[in-house]
Amino acid sequence: MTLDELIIQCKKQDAKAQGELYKRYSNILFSICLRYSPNYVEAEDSLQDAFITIFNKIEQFKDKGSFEGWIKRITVNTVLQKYRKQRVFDIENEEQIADEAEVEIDDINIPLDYLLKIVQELPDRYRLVFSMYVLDGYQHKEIGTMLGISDGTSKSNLARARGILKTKVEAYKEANK
Amino acid sequence: MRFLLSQELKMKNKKNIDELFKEKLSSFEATPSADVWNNIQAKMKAEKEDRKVIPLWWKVAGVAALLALLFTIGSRVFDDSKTTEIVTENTKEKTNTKNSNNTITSSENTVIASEDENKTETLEKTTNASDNNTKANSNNDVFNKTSTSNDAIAVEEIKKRNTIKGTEKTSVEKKPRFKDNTIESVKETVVATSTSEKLSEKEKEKEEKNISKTSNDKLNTIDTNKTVDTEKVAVAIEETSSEKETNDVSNKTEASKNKKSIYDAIEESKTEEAVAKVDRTPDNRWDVTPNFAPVYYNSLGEGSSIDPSFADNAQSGDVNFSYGVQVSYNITDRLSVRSGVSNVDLSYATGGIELGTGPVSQALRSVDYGGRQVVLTAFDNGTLMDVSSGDPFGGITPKSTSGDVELVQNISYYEVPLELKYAVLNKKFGVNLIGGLSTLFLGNNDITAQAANFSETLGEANNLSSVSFSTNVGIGFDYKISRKFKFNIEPMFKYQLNPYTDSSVSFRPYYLGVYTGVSFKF
Repeated sequence: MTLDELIIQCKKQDAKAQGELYKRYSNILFSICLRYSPNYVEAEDSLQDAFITIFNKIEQFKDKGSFEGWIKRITVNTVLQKYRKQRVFDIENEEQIADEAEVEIDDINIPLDYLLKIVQELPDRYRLVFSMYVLDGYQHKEIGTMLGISDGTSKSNLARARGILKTKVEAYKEANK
Repeated sequence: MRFLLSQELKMKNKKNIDELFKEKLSSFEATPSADVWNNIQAKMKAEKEDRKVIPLWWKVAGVAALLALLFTIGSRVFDDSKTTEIVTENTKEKTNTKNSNNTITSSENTVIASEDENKTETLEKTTNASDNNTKANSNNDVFNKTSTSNDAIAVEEIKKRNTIKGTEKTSVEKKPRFKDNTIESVKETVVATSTSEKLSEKEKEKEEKNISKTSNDKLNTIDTNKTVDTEKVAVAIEETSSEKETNDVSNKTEASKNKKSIYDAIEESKTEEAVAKVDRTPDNRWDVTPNFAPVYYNSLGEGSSIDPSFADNAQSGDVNFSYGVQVSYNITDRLSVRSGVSNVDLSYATGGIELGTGPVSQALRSVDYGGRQVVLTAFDNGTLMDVSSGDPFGGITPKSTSGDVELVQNISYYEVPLELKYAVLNKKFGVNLIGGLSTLFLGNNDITAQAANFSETLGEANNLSSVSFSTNVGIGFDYKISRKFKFNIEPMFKYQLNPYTDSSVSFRPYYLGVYTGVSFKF
């Protein structure tokens, strides 16, 4: 079945086609959920919600852009809805560390599990901003709109996230010397 | 910190932390546990079944309707015993009047008969005694003809036959009425032999004949003919013995007449049963009730009638008004059936949306924009953010509004209910159970976007059924102000069965109304 056929069947709410769609995209979408969620269990919850939204809203997909891009956006939106309302305590010193864009570390082989773990451990807002900016290529302006924060806050959050991650990567490096 | 950074820059194999994470985390894939798919499947199935499953209220209303139907049938059966009594009374009366009619016609006949008798008597004088049969036959002929009211022709025929004196011909002619002829010929012989008897007596006989004939004509059955025949033979024989006995026999024939009238009565009772039922003039069986109600409209389901994407949005029902007139007919003291017409305005609001202007192809599908190409439409909150980041929904300009925006759907129906009302308590203060169906004819409707500083109608909804139904259940309280006037207050729950042509809409609307009115009996 081609993707177009699959989408048509899914628009008819065909259970088989929905299963096929899940098979094709659940892994990619689950990775998004994992890096936007604080843990594995909540990532699974978000994935479930995202797929239900996809199946219910698939009628609105109008073949104009990439389908994968569309379902990824829905997934990101689903997770954002969960965590964007949670407040972070970093209003002060925003501009102070905003310049610290480039944080470099030694290129050593750090396992993916660990990287994911430390991303998940970030405070909600930091995690969202970091994932959106670094991993999914959103601009600060977009992030600000989507999370209901200013561009500056987004930048500041990103810098803080980087700082935390760097510390943890270095700690890992120390421990595994 | 700065120092640390500059130190690190000098180290080999330095890597931007962003790149480290991007490299590893943006391309990895992870397999969720099987539970996720199972949950999704279960949820989708549940949503599907939610749409298919017969709503609980449908079932409840069905049971209510069935009960109401049973009540109706039960009361009909109960009514039947009453009506048959009335009917038999009526038929008795009717048969009496019919009998009196008979006597009238027979007396008329008697007049004619006596005239004929005179003629035959004059004939008797001119003819031989052996020609009695002929006379009798011709006499019968006369009767037959009189019964068909062809007097003049009959007399002519008599004259002809008298001149011809051909008895055989007439007897051949009379073959179809053979029995009558024989009997009557017997009678006539009797008449001939007892010429000394008074004319009045003969008239009596004629009367009997007429009666029997009319009854024969009426019933047209051989059996009754036979009985009449035998009785008549008896009459003929007994007449020869004495006058008193003749009277007795005539009484008997009268009795037999009565018997027949009972047969008639049964026959008539059958035919008139229906008539009698209709004829029963019910006193104050009708009620007319102008009523008015605040109605609250909402949905039992989670879905949205406007767009599936609004299914999880905040939706709130609004209170509007219904007004109309109801006419009810009391089948029994307790049970009444009612109908009428009323105008119902319903509306509800969907929140959590944002507005945008864009091409009609991107707009809500459930709205009829009336051929416009660029329209104002609504999206689920957050959808338009996707647009800004190069989304498939291109070409939409978000519209900024102050405060929360709501999408308000207004629907106006003309409602024609058919409901049964059963009085549980039927005193000065009454309590009633009400159940039934309404047919809803769609009137005006629109979908309007409303914000604090803004209100614009998007268009009409195109997924509303032009004719739909609702099941209604409710409790009615009434207070009898006087014999004629009654104050009613009826909280009703009305569940709509097929309000939307789009069956995938898991929006299951109902409306609650408290109908108040004053009913007038007439």
